Amino acid sequence: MKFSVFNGMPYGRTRMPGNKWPVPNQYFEPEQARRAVAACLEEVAMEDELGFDWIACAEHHYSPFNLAPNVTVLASALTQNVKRAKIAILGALIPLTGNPVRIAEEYAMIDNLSGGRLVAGLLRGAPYEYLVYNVNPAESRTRFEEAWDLIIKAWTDRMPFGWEGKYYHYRNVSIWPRPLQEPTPPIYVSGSSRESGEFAARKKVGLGLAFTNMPLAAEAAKHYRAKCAEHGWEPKAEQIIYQLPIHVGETDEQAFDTVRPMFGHTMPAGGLSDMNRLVATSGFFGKGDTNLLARFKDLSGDEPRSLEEALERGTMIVGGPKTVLQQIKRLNQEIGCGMLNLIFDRSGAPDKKRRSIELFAKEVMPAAREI
Amino acid sequence: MSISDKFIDAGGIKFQYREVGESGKIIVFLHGAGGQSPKASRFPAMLGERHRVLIPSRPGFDQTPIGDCKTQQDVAAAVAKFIAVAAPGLKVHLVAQSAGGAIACWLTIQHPELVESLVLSAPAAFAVRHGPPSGGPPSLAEMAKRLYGEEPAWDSAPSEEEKQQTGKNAQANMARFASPDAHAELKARLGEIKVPVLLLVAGADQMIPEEAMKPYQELIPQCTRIIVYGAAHELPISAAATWVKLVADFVDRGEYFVVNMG
Repeated sequence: MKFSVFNGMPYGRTRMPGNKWPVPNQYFEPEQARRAVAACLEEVAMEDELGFDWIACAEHHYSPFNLAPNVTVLASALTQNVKRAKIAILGALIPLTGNPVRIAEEYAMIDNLSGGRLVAGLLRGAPYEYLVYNVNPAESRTRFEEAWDLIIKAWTDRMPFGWEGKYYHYRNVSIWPRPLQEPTPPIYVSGSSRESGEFAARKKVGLGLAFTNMPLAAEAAKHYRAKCAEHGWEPKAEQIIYQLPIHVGETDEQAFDTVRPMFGHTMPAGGLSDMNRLVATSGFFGKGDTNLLARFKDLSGDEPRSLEEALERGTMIVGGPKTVLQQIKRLNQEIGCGMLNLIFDRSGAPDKKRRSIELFAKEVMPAAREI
Repeated sequence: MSISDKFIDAGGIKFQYREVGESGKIIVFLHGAGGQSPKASRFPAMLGERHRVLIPSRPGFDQTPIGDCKTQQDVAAAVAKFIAVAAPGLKVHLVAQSAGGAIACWLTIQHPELVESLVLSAPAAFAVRHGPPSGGPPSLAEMAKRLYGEEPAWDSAPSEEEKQQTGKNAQANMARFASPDAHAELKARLGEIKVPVLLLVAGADQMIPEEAMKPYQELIPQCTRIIVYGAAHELPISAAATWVKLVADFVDRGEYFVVNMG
């Protein structure tokens, strides 16, 4: 297996009482933000030296969960601190900005700045993201597919062209630089929905499974592989990514003690459930995704109530090195994922987080690579 | 808008043609291998709202006799005579669909004095034909879908008579103007086209691969390529509103077409 570490430049906890989204930026404190930026850039350099395959980041908005509303700006910084690992943008939310050509240009820049190490996630986003730039969620699928085709065209066509689509209109497109990787960087889409899995199979690209659980991810991966077979190809193991939080302690007991108090508390980016419900019930999901629609109608009810439940449902990896290795084997067997995108910020304390990363890289990753 | 067929004598050939619109710039639309579009097609009236549109049936199509035309250059010369009679002393904007593209290019090369600008809509000349499809020819319904897409812009489907005429036109065109050398002579002379050219590519074209359209952009000095996303091969019918908007804008603004002016 291969391993990616997700670092979206988290801000950490705020002084905001309650649980809502958008998070008012009156709670933004410059000194804390400076520390968050410094910590992120230090950590990615360390993660690179420790041998992770990818350093990943993603676009999210209006909350301290992730200080990367323009993810290519963060990725640009990562290219200067990460010398070896691939830079995985997982990803830009391509239906949101209204300018797919700009995304094609920025991704191409990252591929050049990193010497051809870009992994290109082209995502549709979680439902609540459609409240950010006032995009009709019922159009998200068709906007996504048109934006996708335009981005691929911008990367691969060697002559200037114009584009007259339903949503996007250009009279002149001819991007400089092109991506270094030919014909394109490796591409992933998020694929929790059946339609997304079918799209990824049709386009012969990888699948990312995030904000889900092991049974649902296993079902989505199975559907994706079946559709890939229908389209005459078989995805490589690393073309199925599963993303989840992780904490590695010196022992199981220490790790469990660190993580257990977090259950039942509001997370820094909380308050999304209502917004996800509003958008999910406004046409965001297709007709074939009744399961997802039902889940997003009450996402808070879908959250594990205890550490044990989280481990059982594969929404989190927690334990000492040996236990963590067993949990990874189980995820690999159930989902068939060849790449884990790991979120190492569940411990709350920076020193514990760093130790968790080190333990994983030194005590787990060598054996886990053999899975 | 009712569109009736008319006839005009030009250079010894009695041309069947349609005419829409009374004022504005003159657009001459050259049809594809199927001949005149179905009468219920909406694009002529849409294009004729601000322009005078002439749609001749080329020699050998519909009721226009082939005359002495042996080559596509001969057809282009005959159409030039039609223009000289139908729009005497005036330059026109040539708009050509599919197989009409080669004729329009030859006409522009031979008679630059007649042509103000050129629109090539899914031009077919440089497509390599590999013989009949292995699974046999597609059904008429499948062929209609490939040509016109899921939502063709016409007020009613073509009549049986129109369908038969389209089939006859296509077969005759293939027999007369099949080009085993993939129009090598035309390709060699594309650089002589000096007028502004708009190349419209159907984004979901199942008839002509996009690669076959690239020589126009590579060889014609002033050629702007626009991809009409999701459109089928017969752009004026598959994506009528978008197609008319682009063609009218190009005809009206020429080289300023690339500038967004709201």
